[in-house]
Amino acid sequence: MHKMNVLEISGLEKRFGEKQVLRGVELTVPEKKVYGFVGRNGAGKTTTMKITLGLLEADAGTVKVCGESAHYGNTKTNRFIGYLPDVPEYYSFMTPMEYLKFCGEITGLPAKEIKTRSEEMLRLVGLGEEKRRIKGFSRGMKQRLGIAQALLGRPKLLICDEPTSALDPLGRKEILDVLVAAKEETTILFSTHVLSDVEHICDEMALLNDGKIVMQGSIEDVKKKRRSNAMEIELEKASDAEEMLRVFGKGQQNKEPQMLTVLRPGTLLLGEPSMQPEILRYMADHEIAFARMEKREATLEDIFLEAIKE
Amino acid sequence: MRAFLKKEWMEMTRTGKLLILCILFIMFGIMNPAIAKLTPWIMEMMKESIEESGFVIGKVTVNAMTSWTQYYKNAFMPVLVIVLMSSGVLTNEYQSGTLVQVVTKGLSRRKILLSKMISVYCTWTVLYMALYFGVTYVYTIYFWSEDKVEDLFAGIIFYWLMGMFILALVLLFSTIANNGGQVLMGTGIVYMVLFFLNYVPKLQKFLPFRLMDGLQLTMGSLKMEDFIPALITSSVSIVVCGMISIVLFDKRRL
Repeated sequence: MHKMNVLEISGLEKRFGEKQVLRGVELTVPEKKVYGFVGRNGAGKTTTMKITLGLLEADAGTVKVCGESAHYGNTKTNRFIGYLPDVPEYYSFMTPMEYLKFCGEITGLPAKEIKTRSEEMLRLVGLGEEKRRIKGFSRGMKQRLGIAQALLGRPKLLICDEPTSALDPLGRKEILDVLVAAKEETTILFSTHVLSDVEHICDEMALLNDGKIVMQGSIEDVKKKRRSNAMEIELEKASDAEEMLRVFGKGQQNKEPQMLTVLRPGTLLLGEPSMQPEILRYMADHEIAFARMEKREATLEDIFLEAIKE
Repeated sequence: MRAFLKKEWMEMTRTGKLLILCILFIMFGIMNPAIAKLTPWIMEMMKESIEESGFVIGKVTVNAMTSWTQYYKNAFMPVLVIVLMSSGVLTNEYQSGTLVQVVTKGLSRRKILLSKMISVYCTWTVLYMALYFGVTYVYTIYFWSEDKVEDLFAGIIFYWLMGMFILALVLLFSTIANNGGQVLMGTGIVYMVLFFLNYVPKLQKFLPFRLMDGLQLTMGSLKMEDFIPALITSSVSIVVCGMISIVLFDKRRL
């Protein structure tokens, strides 16, 4: 069986009044992946997701979920999707079990399945023993209940809008663990601006900036593409760092760009690898000792910042 | 849809809305015969001060008709209460975002709106008939069992329909408004417009306001056929409001 794309978005545009939020978003999410949807606040992540769910009307472009077109209003494609909104709200007078039963019934699941599946999901998110009404739930508990309700109907695609953003580190870890567990049975598209979350659990990612996808692919590919050649040089004595900076910092005859820059006090960053021998020679000649010298790994953060700058 | 109706019911009972409504409607129902019953006594209490100002009070007689006069005079209160209670029926859900999850779970918008309509209309019907009318009726029979009141029920039903008309407006405005205040404002504006139109004699018999004149039917100053045009316009308006609501709700951003 060939690999299917669960979500295909092409040429998506959306404007709110004066503001053009999406300018031709192209996004393809393959099956059984955890897909990170990265971007700054206001980049258009939520808008893209809401259009996919038929909650907003697109100005142009198409959205296909499992091969079927999604449209505004009552969209049939929602039967493939489980959705966790950024700030999920529930009927606070219900208990988690009652809420899942309600969700199951409106989705049209058989009664027996609702019961077993609800128990299974509540156990998965750690709310199995919770008999209180939703009213008194913390944010983290609501997020977890949100995942339970989103997964209830065994969706082909789970859309999570910033599931970890409002949580403390422990709550964040819990959600990520649940998502990793959910990966077994569904494809997950999750938006975030927390890059460490993407590095932890995602297989692929797309970076949305200013209404366009500026980068997309597997995490390794993305990192490889932007592998930086820079070296970090940490010196034993801070005064040596100043001296090196004086000699190499300006660039020769002030023509070239700066070769050495200060990363932190005592640590310099060498941007141009061809200068390496010359720097080392100088250090040997002047008996400057270094504490550490290593190739700098590009973090997603660097890549992110660099991509956004362009 | 059954699940959504069940949820509405659960909400009404668990949040205490139903309890408050029941208490208020029973109070309104008791008030009518009680005021009628107490009138002679109140008059007696105030007799001296009134006579000092030169009025002479004869013997005050009260009967079932006094109670029903009170019924029509006070019937705006149950309508007002149900309107206030219903103004948030959709807007509260827009504000909390709870409908987003229901829609993304695949329940069609029409079923949501239909459930809301059923629950609002049923609440009004049951509370008005069983409590407001029921309680007044039982006490009036109890106090003045020998009095005969003609054409009572038709007028009662007309007023019920007036309530349904107002609620249809509330639901219509709920599909476009963002909060309960806007719903009340929209409904209020339509009410005011109708109120002024009601000063045009030719229009009077067509306007829903006629439905509040059930007392005159009971007293004989209006006949059944005087109500027919208003009955038709009101019923048609309720259906039309319902249809417009469906169209608007389908397009609404949640």
